[in-house]
Amino acid sequence: MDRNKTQIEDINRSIYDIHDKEAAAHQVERGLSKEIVTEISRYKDEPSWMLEARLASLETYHRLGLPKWGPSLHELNMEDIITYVKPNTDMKTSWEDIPEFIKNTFDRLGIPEAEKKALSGVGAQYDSEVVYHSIKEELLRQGVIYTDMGTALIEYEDIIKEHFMKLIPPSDHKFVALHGAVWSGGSFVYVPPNTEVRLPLQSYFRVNAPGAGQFEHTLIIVDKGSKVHFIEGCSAPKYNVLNLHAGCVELYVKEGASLRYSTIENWSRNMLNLNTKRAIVDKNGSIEWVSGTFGSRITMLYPMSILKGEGARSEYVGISFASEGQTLDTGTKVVHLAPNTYSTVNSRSISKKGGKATYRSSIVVTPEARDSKSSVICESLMLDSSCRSDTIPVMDIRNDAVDIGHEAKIGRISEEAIYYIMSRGISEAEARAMIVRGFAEPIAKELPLEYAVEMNRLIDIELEGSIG
Amino acid sequence: MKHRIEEINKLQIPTWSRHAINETTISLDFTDLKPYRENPLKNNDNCIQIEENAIKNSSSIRMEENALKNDADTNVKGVREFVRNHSNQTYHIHINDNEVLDEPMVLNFIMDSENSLLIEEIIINAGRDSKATIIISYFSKEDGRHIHCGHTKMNLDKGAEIDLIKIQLLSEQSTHLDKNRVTVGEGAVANMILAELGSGNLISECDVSLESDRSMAKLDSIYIGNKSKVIDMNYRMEYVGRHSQGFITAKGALMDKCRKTFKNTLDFVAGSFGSKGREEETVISLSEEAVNISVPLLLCGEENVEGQHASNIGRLSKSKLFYLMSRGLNEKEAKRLMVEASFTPIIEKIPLEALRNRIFHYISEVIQHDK
Amino acid sequence: MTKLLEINNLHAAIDGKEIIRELNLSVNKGEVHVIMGPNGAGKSTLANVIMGYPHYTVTKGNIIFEEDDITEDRTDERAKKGIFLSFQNSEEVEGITVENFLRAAKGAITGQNISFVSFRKELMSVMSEIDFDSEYAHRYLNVGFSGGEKKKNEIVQMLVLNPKLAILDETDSGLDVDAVRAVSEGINRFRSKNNAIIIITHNTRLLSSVEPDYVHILADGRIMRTGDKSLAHEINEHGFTSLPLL
Repeated sequence: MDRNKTQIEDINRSIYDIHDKEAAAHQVERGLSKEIVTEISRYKDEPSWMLEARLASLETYHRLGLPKWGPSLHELNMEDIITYVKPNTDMKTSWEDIPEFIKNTFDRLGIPEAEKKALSGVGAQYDSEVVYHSIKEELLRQGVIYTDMGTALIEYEDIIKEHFMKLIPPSDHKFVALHGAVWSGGSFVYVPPNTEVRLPLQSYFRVNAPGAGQFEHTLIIVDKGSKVHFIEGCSAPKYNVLNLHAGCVELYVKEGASLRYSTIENWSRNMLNLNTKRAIVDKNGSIEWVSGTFGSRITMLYPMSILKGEGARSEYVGISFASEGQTLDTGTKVVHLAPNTYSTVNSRSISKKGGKATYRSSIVVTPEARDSKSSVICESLMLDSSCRSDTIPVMDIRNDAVDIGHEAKIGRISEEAIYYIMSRGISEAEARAMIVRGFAEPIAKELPLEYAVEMNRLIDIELEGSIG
Repeated sequence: MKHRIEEINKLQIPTWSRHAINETTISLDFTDLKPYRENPLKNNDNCIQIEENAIKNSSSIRMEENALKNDADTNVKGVREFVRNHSNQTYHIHINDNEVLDEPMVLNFIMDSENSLLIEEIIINAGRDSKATIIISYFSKEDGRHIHCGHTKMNLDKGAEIDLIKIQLLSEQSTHLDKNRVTVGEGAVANMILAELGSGNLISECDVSLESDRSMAKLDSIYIGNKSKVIDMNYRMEYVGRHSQGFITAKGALMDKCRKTFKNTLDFVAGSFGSKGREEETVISLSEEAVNISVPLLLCGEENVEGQHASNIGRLSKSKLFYLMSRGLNEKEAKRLMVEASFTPIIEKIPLEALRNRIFHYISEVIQHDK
Repeated sequence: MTKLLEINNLHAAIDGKEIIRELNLSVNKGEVHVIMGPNGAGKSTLANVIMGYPHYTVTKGNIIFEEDDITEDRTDERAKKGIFLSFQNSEEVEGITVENFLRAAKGAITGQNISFVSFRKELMSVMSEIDFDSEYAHRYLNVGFSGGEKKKNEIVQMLVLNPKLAILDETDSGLDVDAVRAVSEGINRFRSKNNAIIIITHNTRLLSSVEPDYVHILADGRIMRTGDKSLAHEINEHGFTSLPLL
């Protein structure tokens, strides 16, 4: 019997790969210097404290070394990166006002359509600046704020000053420091107390210019007893030069509030994705991270939950699919600081064709966090023997009144399961595909519907031609 | 004389530096210590009686006399290099092809004020289809500062089946630094027990390479942390041969203000198809001040393998404790029983009753002193 | 009588070890055959060889299904030709629901697009007939199912896929009385003059409600005796060991 392995085809990326050739309105020189940082701040007409913060971050950047762990970042040369590219438009609140070439890009990605159907608000960033932002009237009336960070810095300066890079200080690591120096764009969300935002808010980040860096900053404050779902999507066309993404996400979840933060990352494979995300959760609050990592050349991403208040909870659900030329180093960090805190981690990775998937995590339980629980399950599926799959968890537990469980599994597609499925008339290729999709399903079902569909397309497997 | 050893217990793939687990550095001070001069083949321990035939059997162990080679302060990387430069005891254990030894071979290192510095190298070669049990134990005869630093290299030829049992019950002022490197040949089986129970500063490393097809290894570890003891363990199974199998089981109990780091790695190398590996760690924590760090790595470069990790960290279940106490045990007795129950399946595998009793006695002593 | 399955001088081995030897069996449409035998006789091996389990090698002989030599066919090709195996231990497959799986299978076997709505209706009716909670349609395939639930799920699949030849491998084992009744009702409902059933079992529980035409005793990889229903009762009373097999 012919038992050749079915080739599971690559993701069809063509719709992401279309790039626009329009000139930018303004862009800085390649590289990183005091002058460039000052130019960005002046051009954006920022308050002077922000310029000072940027320059201080730049110094921190120079002081810090590259991480001594994780994928090699030797390919990155900051001299080649353009840290600020302003598209040829100001921010609009109507798609009609956006230049055709930008609008087309977002149309292809289905953003305006999704907005009509199932979203409370939409932000769209193109290279370094947000080009579109809108929010439903009724939410505005309830006092919900959803705008771009540049606007927020002017209109809500005090709030921004109080929270900006306080949760993730520039000293955290080299790329956070870089972010602090050259950040631009991103979204600001504030949900007032006892407000439920029924439909999700979504920001979409698009990098278009070759060699550009994107350094958006997302700041979300969910006040007491409120609830919101925030979605971010990312993509870029493929170039032969490296692009860099070093965004920063700071989430404040107040007492009894809950925030779900979903990400579908589908950067092109010339992107270094070094993103930093962190949430601090007060009493009885809850943060849920849903994370799908499919694109990029190298990703290092470990959303962190700081469970500061008693009864705070975090949930991390993540999937990554590493294929040819990709190193996806993802996972999560959780710090249990208070009693009765609870965290769960459910991570799955698929690797093939030389791709490298790493799950990396850190669970810390402090002496104060009595009666806390943490449960980690991570599973990896390898589709061939040219790829790698590594699991690198750390658990640091400092009190005895806890229940901590960690399970990790590495495996392959079971031949018996294939036989079982084939005995019902289904071809071997389809049987394999079913098992791969099934492996991803428990994570996919956590995604917003349109993203679950997108993910299925991303994991899409060429069934045609292999049947019969 | 001060000696600094770096790059001990290196994590195969490093992770966040702030956890301080990527590698360990230790400084050893030999001032006032006296090199080990006793004969570990002799039954010279008053505390335990090992069966005479077990001692006799040990005659196939060859000892090399060597004095401390180097007296100057040094700074080296790795335990192996350090032992190579400083060893004061060297043993070669050679088991011939097809030789089957029914009785265990025993090396019994007893440390005291006259024998307070033991730096030993043990080389074990197990020939084709040979079978033997080797027991190496480290005891402190009395309180006091003892330093043991050892490197054991064991090689199993095709079809060999060796049980290597190491028991460490050194005094709490002592430092114990032990590295084991095991290679397992085709169809060979290495069963190891590392009972790391004593000493105040404990560094234990075991690196097992399942080099050939159908090679197999089991590594059972028990450890107990009390007072301000520092435990640093790094166990690794490397799957190279096809259809190889390697299992690590670790059981621990933590008390007082001890600090434990347990790193373990299952590494499936490309080409190790059909291999299976599992690691399980169970930690019973009896103290709210103990630090408990676990780092279970699962590395894989081969599709056709099955690898699994499971860690369970938690307190004694309140209902179990209540059940035991309702039968008349006080809390301390109940806790001891639970720790014993967890360790027993591993201790039971040790073939000499005298050693088993010594271990049970040690555990009960330690738990009695738990505040 | 139309011949459905014919096995001629079959030898099959796994890892070089011969499990089936010189086995001959002929099954016509409309017949129910029972294969009994002690543990290790090769009963499950026979079922899996007919279904084309890749780990078994047919070393000699052939399997003819509707005049087609299927000895070299892949498992899915055999299924498409109308062979069905109810597994003794069904695999658990995460992430795909019973309903979606079965709809995909039905589509593959019939070569048609299966309408979501009508399929759901059919599935629900089949499930209720054999007293299988319809909630299981939305659960992942066999994941976390009890032994009895797995067996019922196999029967549901048989009824939905409607094969020409159904091989039931120990479908009655591990079931309580109610479940045996539900399963045998399913079998009787399936049974027709256009199909055939091979029941592999080591006891006679199922035979009180499903009337067999032939009973074969399989031992040591070959069929030692063939008889009618009375042979099954003989075994029920005296066991395999007392039988003069050769």
